Amino acid sequence: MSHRPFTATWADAFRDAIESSVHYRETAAKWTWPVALVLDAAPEMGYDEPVAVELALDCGRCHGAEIRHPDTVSAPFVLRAPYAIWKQVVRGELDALAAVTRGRIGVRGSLATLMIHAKSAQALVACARTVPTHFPDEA
Amino acid sequence: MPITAAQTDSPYYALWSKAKQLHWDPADVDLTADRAQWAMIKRDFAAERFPEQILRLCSLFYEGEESVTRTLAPFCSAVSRAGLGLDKELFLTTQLYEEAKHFEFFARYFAEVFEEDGTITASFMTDAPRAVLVADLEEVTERLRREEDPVRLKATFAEAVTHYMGVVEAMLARTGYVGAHDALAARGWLPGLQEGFRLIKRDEGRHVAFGMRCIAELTAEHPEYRAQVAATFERHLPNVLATVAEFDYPVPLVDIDKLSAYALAQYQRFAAAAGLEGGTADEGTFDDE
Repeated sequence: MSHRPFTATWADAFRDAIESSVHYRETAAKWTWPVALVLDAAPEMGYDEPVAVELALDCGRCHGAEIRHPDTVSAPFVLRAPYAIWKQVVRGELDALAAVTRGRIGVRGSLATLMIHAKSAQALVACARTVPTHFPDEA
Repeated sequence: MPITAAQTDSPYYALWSKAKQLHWDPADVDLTADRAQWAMIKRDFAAERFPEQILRLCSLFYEGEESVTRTLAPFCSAVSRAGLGLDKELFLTTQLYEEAKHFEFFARYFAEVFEEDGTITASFMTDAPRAVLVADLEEVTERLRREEDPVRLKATFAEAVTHYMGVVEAMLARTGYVGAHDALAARGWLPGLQEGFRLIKRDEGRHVAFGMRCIAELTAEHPEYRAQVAATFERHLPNVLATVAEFDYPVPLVDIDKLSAYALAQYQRFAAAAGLEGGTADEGTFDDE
């Protein structure tokens, strides 16, 4: 079953993908902070408001994935991008770190910490790519 | 006071010895072919904006080399005042000499190949490179020069080493020279500039290796400096990334993603040397040749 991105079922599937990834567990063993991924509003895609997925990441585990309004997230790391960028990242067409370094994904939180744990971030994105995802602009 | 046996066996002394063996003179680099090729690049690749990209790259190198030449002297004095070792002072004399040579190379290149007097570099010095390469570096080295308290002097030295050798040399200079050299070599362009980049990159490798060893030593002795190292990178990373992003042209001369990844790898290695959690210990790649 495919999930529409940035929905509750997609968030659950993302959490499951992280939890079942040995690669993530090993690579992100030293990553101890929750992360929120924020999708800018995209009314043409059915996202009238911006939406966040807050991931309770800790030492290679994901203890929860919640859909929230971006104003209510408490994660110390917030990555924010428009629909087209998230789609390219999830589809594997754009490296997430390259998107950060080129300013296509905005970062709130310690850039130095995020960059030092770049492999953890890449492992997280690799998990997202395993989630069956149906993008609303695709047939 | 004579130098001790421990100092002549130190990695800093080995870097000093290597610097003496690898002497080169900017005046010896042959620029004959570059002059003809530069005219061709300006004529045939204006639409791709390659001449502008090459001038932008070289302008940042030129301005950067001038800045690091002018700001290194306080490091030598600080090492002496803080009693950090004659072996480090010896190495820094070679680094000061080399930074001046790098500056001379670009002065010569702008005059003889670009036929510019150097004032054109100002048009490429936007806020991000100006802050990280010049203004903020001047600020920390000025504090280093003025600091009289021996405890604060050592801490300021750690901050200055992080900025100079970690941010400017490892993340920006070496990354830039690697990217620029590869881009020109792939096209067979400007062999004199390629040779200059190769020689400068080799020198910068020793400078970064020196900085990494210093920061490893200082943070091992004073673990409280690690927070300062992290804060220094935190402060300058946005300007480093913004500087790299300036080469994100519609038809880029350099591979921007490769450049960003290389800069990131330099940061991770320096952070590992400082004992920051999550860094990737791999200092061997700095001290090449």
